[in-house]
Amino acid sequence: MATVSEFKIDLLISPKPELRNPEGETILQDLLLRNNFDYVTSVSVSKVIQLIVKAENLEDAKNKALIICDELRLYNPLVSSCTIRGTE
Amino acid sequence: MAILQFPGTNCDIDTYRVFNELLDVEATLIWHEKTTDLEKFDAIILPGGFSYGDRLRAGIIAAYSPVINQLKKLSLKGKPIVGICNGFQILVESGLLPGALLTNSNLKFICKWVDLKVETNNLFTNSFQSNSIIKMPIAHNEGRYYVNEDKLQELERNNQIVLRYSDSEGNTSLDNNPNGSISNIAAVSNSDGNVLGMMPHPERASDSLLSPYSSDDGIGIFRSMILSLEVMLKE
Repeated sequence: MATVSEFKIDLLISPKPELRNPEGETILQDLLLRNNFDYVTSVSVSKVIQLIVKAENLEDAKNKALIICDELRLYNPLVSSCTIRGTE
Repeated sequence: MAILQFPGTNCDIDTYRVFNELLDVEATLIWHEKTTDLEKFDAIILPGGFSYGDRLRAGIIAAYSPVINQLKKLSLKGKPIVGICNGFQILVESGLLPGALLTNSNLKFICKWVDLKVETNNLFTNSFQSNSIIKMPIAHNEGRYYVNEDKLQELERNNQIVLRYSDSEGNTSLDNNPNGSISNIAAVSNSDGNVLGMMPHPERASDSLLSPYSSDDGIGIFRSMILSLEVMLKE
């Protein structure tokens, strides 16, 4: 019988680049550039949802997280992309 | 009328009073988990509020309530469904209306009265003259309506853009766009025209005594729907 372990899965939900990211714009304009960090050209704020997933292996855990993302729309594919990262 | 209540809905009683007290139309508050058959109601309202505390994204958790499956079936039968503010967000997240509602471009919760241009004559606006400018309040943090360019053109072609933010002359420029919505969109319908989503609050602009501008323009949305229903039910 396969052993089931727990895996930490991070879902990085990022706004699509064609959409304005007002929070990122504010950080860039009113914090970084105002304080002379002018080597930064763009800021975009994303969201991380962390799941602890029971699965047989990391790949299985990522697939399970992907199913949740798609079925329950943890991110809105119209305006965001989702990157799945996992560690044991 | 059925007025749906989710955990965090807070404009339900105002909406209820508009129907029962101002319009003399019977409205019933329906908790979303009740297994009430909504078919028996002539129309369904999803009022504003903060369903599930806006956790994850405004409207997304309510969009997975079983009652939404009923709404999806009823919308296909042409039943009028109106989502106001958070109700609009729920309808968008459930796929009953196109697009997405993002955080306002100024990152602030906006609560103010706005001028709106009536862009289309449908079952929710037919008591207004075409191109009327009406006043209603908005009160939201996630009201920046977004669709991609192709979808925007489709909405234009199908007359699905119902209200636009404007000035008092009906100019719809960026200067009178409170939240950064694409093309100043404040309200849209589905392609069949029986599902309406709107960020402004018509229930808060239904009694001129309670309005700082003596505006009761909001009641026109509900009155239009009732007039349309009377015609539909006679047919």
